Amino acid sequence: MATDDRVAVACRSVVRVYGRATEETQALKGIDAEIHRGQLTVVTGPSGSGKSSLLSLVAARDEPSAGWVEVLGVDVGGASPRQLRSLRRTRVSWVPQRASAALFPHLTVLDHLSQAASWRSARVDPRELVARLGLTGCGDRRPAAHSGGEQQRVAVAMAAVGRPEVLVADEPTAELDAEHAEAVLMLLADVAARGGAVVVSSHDPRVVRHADRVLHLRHGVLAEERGSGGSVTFIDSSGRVQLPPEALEAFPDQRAVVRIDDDGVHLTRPDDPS
Amino acid sequence: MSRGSGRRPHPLLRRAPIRLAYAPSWSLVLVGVSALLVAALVAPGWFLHAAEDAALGAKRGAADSNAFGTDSANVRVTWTGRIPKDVEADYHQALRDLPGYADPVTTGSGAGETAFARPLVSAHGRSVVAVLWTHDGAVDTLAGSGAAPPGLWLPRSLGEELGVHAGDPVQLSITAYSTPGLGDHVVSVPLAGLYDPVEGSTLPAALQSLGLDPLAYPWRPDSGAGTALAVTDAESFRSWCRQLRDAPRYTADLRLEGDPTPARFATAVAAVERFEKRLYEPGDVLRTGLDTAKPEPITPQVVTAAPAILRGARIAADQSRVQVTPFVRATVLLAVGLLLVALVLLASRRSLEHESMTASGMSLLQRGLVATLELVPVAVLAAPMGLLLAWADVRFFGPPGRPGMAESRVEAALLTAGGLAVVLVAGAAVAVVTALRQERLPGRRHTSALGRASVWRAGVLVLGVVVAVAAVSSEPAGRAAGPLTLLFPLATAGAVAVTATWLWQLLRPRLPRWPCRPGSGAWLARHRSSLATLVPVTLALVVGLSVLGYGLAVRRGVQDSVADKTAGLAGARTTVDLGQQLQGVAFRRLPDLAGPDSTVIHTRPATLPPAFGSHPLWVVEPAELDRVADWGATLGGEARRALHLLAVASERAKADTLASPDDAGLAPVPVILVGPTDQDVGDLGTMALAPGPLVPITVVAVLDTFPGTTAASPDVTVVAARSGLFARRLTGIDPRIKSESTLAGEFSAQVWSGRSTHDLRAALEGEGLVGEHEQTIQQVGSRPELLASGWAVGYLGPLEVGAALLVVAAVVLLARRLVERDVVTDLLLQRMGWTRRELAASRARELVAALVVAWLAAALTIWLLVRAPTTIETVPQLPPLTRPHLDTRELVTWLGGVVGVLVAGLLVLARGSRTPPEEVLRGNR
Repeated sequence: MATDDRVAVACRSVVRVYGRATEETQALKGIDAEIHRGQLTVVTGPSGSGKSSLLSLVAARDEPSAGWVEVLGVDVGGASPRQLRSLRRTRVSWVPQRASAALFPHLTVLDHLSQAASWRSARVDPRELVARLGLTGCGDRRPAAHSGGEQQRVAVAMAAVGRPEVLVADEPTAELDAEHAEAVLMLLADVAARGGAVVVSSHDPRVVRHADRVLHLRHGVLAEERGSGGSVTFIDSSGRVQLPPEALEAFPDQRAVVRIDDDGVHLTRPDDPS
Repeated sequence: MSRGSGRRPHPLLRRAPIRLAYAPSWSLVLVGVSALLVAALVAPGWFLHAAEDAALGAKRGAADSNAFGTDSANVRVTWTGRIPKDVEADYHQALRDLPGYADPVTTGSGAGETAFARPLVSAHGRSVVAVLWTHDGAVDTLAGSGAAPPGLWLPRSLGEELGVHAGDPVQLSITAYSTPGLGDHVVSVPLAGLYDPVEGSTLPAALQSLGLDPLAYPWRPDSGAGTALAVTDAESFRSWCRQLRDAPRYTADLRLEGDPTPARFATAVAAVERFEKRLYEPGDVLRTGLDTAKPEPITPQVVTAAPAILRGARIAADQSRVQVTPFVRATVLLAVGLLLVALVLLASRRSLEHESMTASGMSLLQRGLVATLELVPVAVLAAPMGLLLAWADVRFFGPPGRPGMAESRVEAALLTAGGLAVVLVAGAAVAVVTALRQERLPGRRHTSALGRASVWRAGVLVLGVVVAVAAVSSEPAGRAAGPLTLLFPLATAGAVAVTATWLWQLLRPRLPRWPCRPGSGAWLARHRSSLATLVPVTLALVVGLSVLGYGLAVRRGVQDSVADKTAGLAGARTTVDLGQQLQGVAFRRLPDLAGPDSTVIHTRPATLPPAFGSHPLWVVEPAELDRVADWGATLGGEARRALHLLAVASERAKADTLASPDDAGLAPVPVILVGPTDQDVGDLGTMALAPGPLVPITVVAVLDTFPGTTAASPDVTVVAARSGLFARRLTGIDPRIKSESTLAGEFSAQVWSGRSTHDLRAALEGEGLVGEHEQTIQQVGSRPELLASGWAVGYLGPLEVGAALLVVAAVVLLARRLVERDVVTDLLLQRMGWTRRELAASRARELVAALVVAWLAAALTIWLLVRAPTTIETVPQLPPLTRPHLDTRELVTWLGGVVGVLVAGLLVLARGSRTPPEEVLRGNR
């Protein structure tokens, strides 16, 4: 159980295995992480590193195969459908990778924002949101009349309506140009600034620049965390450490000698006489 | 600035009714299947109304030639004597109140000439015989345009004989032959006028326009009867009869008004029966009043066949109900299945939209409500379309009666509402189930997709086996009445589809592969073809194609069966029973007597010892019978071959018999046994022709059905050829020898003919022969069960349309899935040098492959169903058994359908392959 009030989402030893007809894929291999309120956390990593799997867990859209995930004090693995439904409706919002998927073809932009406000029982002026998104004059148009970028902004705006406590967005700027990406990021940053925990997966350096924290995944393992305090390498509960690629180059044989002394823990090449 | 959103329904609810306007093709599909469901629910009621109405029309039409005969739906009430005054008004009012019938037309007739007395009209000392007679409207008609003067109307010839003119007094009396003039009651009445009768008749010529029923008075010139009519009005008739102490005979004719619907006719019949009951019910005011009549109580007789006609119509309707019930169930099930398939596929197509709703935490109630509201416009459009479809189905494929839409509008409205409720509830249910599936976290799904597929596939296979065992082990009579008619083809199609797709999946990697150039269309198709995309739709294709083909086979089977059963009952177009009239006539004269296109069959009972029981023996002339008999649709093959064998074997037996020096060397008589028998081809036996000799027989063929034998006996019928049987001496029973005795067991003769009854009757009468009993194939074909079978076939129309829709929907869906699967990769492949044409051709290969697999599996299903025990026999008491089978026409139709859906699929592929790249990249496809 997370006791720190700053922690919106806590993951402990999270493993996620996907079963297929002939094989199993281990997408996450023991993730320990916390997502804090008031921060824009960006999850990075190469394709197949487990970003989407982690985001699904953080958004309470999936449960771990092992370990546990707690979202806003709710144990996702043990929660009832009703609890999860309530969590999603009022406290957690989700922006899918394809914005068009989140939008309804028969609703106007204003309808979408009103709908989101209705779900979260929020009192907002959709027109003001539309203006902030730079979509003035487009409020009465339906998604088909918008470009992919505009659709993406509407989807993010929907997720941001009502100040959700956790906002999870999968590659929210993937289809946007620099200007519109900036508008979206400002919106996400605004949610974080108002105390929300914003988690975004992205390859986009622009997004990483706005991040308060960056969690870097590699092969299903949390390899590195960068924040205001600099870069930190993770040690999982089994004691495994993922070295950054530049450090790995120092160990061409992938063998190291661990030496512990008063100064700390030192890794040296086996052939290093020092 | 801020505004609440709690009061107004949220946009998803508010705008739900316009959602499907953004998916026009799906809207069309949903409106179509919903309309089909409404039609499937409403049509049976109209169909049965039409069946009852058609049967009613047929039964009433049969009695048209005799308006008030015992077969007529009109009502005739007759009584003798004067209705007592205190009940007269009630009595006539009761007749007038009979619903559905016109006001009674009353005819009254005084005493006619009898062996004891005669009615006289006298004047100037002269008397003529004339019976007092009245008929409603007769006097006014005789008077023409002027006002009818009171008094009596006499034939002009009698008036001249009496020397009277209009206005002169005449005396009416009834005089006994034995005591002329003594004690007669005489009434003096004025002569109103003279009339001219029809030549050779007693009926006034002016009254011909009233369309008087011949039974009202014998007026026809050829009737030979006729006492002159002294016509007067009803009031005078009543008064004068009372003064003459005459006991008049009254006839009240009530003609059925218009062309009543079955419901109105039932009301009319109930009223007639109630009226008739009152006439005999002690204590009823009518009965009590009639009992006070003088000189004796009156008991009116009601003559009508209306109740019998109604019963007959209801029997036909019930037969129709029995016969269409399996098809009704199948159609409703198919419609519901199609609706569910369409809703599930639409939900699958809109899965991202559903996921958005799931991600937003919408409650299940709201999800269901949104889905219901989305379908409201569909329901609104489907209601009139469904009713139109139901009307068209009954009008064009159903019985030739009125569907009774006005009478059953409440029922139709309720059924329509029910159907639409099913649509709305199904939409809500699918939305809720989709929501539940999506809400279930992926990590909690412990059963893999493969495992789930295995479970339902195993279920379908087990169901198929269970249903097949039930079908094989049950009696044909019980199958059609139960759910097997519907379950058997569906379960078989499902089992074959599952097996075929499973084998496809299993064998596909193991099959030898044709070499293909890497980078070619075939290579691409092979590498990106995914069974996950193809298999589910292929399953639907197999079921749809199987149901379509089986429906066509059932249609052909039932139509042929009706023809075969009719032939089994009738034998030939016209058959006339001549009894013993051809006794003593040489066989060589028979063709001349029967006329062209006819044959004579000699029949008598025979026994087949050691078994007890009498069987009909038919002695036929094979060559003539072959030409004359009605062979139905399929009897011709086997039965005609048997007849040919009988002819050949009989000629050989005749030759052997004639060559034999004594009876000991006589060859056995070749026979065909028709019906259930233990004997087999080649068996030898004995036939007893008591009081004639024992005849050895040899069986040349055993048949289930032969023209005419069904009516002859439900048991075995023995068919022999004249040349075979009459080559030997049959002392005492040989029909060529005129017998003076009237012993039972003599041969009687029937004439079977391909000519009409009229022609045959005329030909026979020319030879001095009178048919004792006539039967036409039309009479046989109008039996309720055969009529109902023919009508039930019409009900296959919507079933076939439903199956065709399923097939087209499946192919279109498959094509769209392929297009959607490839829409992005095609763009990349085009940038790598593939042409759009090559990519489309590659996709077309996948579509064709799926369709070929579906076609093969469907062909196997149909083959199995056609050869399996029949589940569509609803009249097992009439052989032969109804079996589904495909004729060339049906095969061509089915194959045409397969080609048609292939073309439809390819068109969808071609259209879908033309999405512009910018649309692909935007995701707006």
